[in-house]
Amino acid sequence: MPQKEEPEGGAPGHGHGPWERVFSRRRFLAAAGGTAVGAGAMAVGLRLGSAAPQTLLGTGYRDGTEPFYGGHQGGILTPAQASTYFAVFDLTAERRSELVELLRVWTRAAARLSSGELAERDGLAGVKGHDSEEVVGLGPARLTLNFGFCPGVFEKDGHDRYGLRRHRPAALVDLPRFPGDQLTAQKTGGDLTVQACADDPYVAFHAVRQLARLGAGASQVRWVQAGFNETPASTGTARNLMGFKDGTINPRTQPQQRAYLWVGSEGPAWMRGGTYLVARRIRMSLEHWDSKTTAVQEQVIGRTKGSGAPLGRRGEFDALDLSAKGPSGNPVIPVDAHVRLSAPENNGGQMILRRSYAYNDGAADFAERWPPWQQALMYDAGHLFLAYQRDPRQGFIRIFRNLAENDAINQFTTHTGSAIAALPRAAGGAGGFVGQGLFGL
Amino acid sequence: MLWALAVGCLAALVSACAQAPAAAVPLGHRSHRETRPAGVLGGIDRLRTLASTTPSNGDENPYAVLVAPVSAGVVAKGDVLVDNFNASSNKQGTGRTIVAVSPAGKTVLFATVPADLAGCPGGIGLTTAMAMLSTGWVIVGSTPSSGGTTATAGPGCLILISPSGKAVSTISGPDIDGPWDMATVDQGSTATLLLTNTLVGVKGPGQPVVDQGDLVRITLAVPSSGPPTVSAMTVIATGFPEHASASAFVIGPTGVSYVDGTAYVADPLANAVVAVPHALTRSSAATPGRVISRGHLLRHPLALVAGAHGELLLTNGLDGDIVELSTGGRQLGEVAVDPDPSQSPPGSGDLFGLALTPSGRSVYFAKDDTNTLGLLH
Repeated sequence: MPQKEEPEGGAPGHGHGPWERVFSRRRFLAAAGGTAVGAGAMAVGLRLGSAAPQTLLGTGYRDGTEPFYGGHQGGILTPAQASTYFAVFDLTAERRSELVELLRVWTRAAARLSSGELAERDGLAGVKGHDSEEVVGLGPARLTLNFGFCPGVFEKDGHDRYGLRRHRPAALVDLPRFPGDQLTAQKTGGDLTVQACADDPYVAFHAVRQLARLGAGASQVRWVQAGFNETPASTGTARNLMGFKDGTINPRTQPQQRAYLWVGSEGPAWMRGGTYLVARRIRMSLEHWDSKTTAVQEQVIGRTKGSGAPLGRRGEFDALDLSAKGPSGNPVIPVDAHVRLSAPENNGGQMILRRSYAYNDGAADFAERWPPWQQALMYDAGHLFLAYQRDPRQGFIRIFRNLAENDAINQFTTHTGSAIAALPRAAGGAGGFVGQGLFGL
Repeated sequence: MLWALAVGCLAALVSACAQAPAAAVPLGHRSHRETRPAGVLGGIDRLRTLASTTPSNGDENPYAVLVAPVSAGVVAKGDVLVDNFNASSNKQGTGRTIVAVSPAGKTVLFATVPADLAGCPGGIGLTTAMAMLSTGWVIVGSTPSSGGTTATAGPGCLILISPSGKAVSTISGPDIDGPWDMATVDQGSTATLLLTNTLVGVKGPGQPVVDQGDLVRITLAVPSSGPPTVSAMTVIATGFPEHASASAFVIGPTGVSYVDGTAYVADPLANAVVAVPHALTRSSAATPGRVISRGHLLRHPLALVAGAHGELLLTNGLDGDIVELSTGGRQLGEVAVDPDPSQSPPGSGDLFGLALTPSGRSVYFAKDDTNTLGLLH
């Protein structure tokens, strides 16, 4: 796996824009002077006055940083942070040069934010403003920001608006409609994905909020989804809201990642070393799920709830025994169990890297999509499924085609949002920008 | 663990599909006599999931299952027509599509009925009532609801769909009120429809049971081209119990089949099958008829079809079983085809329409839990 490189040229952000006092958010705390700083310090003082959160989470919980420049983009192999804020933007830029400038501004700002600084005041031409400062005192919190190019960058409603159509990777297909899809326009599509992950939801949201502000005029938010994880993360595989460990079978070794995660020589030069993201907002019918016994749940998933072990085995990482039969002659792992249908053994060996988050958007009126078609106020909660792969045609699409029609879990889950994007390598260093190779610059 | 066996079989086939050569697995029969059932079910013991029945607009909740007797437009003779009761909103009484599934499992869209069809008050929600005449015209029932319950239901209509899949005209009137299921006697230049109505006197959920469901005989003149026209409409049985349900929409007289002059009606609230004699000729309404079978293997009977030798096959609404009866009412056995443990009780609400294959030896059935068409063979 290519190693991350250290940022070049010192702290990113120096010398850019009129606001050249580049404070780390920690140093900003101690500074005094000027109205803005005073206000910030006062806010922070209140926060520090209740020191319990810092104590509970351990000293330096939010001090960690993740590299931004070089290698693969962050937030893919990065150990999962506690929260995410995933946003998909529509491009309103009319010209290719405006798109390039947007990516430059976002890259520059993302580098600053990732290192724990506040964002620039000014963004694209005509954008004047200031950082919202709610993160003052919080530290970088291992913020990562990654950027993806959706099909709309290359072609929108039949128009090659940026002259990029011929550069669209073959693997960046439009996702087909799958049986059971109930995608809503409010949570689907878009042109550019931005995913912020951080150990503090304030930090993750702040980052996207700043990028949206700086990029106004060339982009606008189409949909967003906040997600959360165990906080702080426990060791081992995290559990999803169904209570089961999720992500046990992931490409963990470098050979697996080379084979199934990173784009190789089959892709265009600007995508080599990159990957493709499929994002799906999956609502879980938690009330329905909670009405089932653990035994039924385990049959649906194909794993033991407590240990995460495949049914019939002892350890979480034990290989699935897909041919094992129980005393009655039935398969130990039912033929429609989620783990069986999604297993590499049943999908030509294919793997996808799942790095998902739970989401919780309160409750709303729903009509269920299975008998008895209940209508009630129910949780709008579930899974922000984020899967990275070398080629979605061989990865998510191949695997999910099978699951969408046959997986027992479909009685408890509904896909309500969707996006697909090409994530190139990270920007090479200060002055560069993400996706630079796409533009021949 | 019977459910695991049965459910497993279904999924095995499709996924299997690619992976496991042994796609179909024998499944268990249940008979209180501890023997394999006689008749149609006695000779078949394997399950397959043929195809998704959801078209691209996301309609779901497959209801009617009908084998096309002739080819018409995109439909080939022997294809299975399946309509959908729900739109992608999941609300019942809002589905507007009919798909055709080939015996090999390829699904194409046959018809999308316009939402604002004149002559069909209350919108469109296609039901288990479906017929295809030898001229290629399709007749389908609509029991619409704007809000997904009977509180916002309209009386509905029958829709006449051309062989090319276009909704051309409707049949409605005081004797059409919640058309739910239908049997067809096709006599060439004429045809007779036997139609159950399940909204007569029904209001919103919470209302007590009303005994006003009925069976209507509709006589059609069938031209060699163009839509059939109504010659006569007669209520031939009445007094079936009906109950509005917040979840199941409405429970009332459902499956209807015709054998040798007698109409057989599945009555889920009475948990019975009722015979209405002289169905093609009677001029007065039975009240509602003679119970030929009740209880025992029956668990909320819904759709009902007749085999070539007079066997009656029905789907149980509460346990995912297909049950076979003789026309004398003797219960011959049952097969658990969809006892999905995701429902409570397992299999509840999963089944609706069913149809025999042209050979008469296998059974197609709709799986509402997974929006697929199953084959018991």
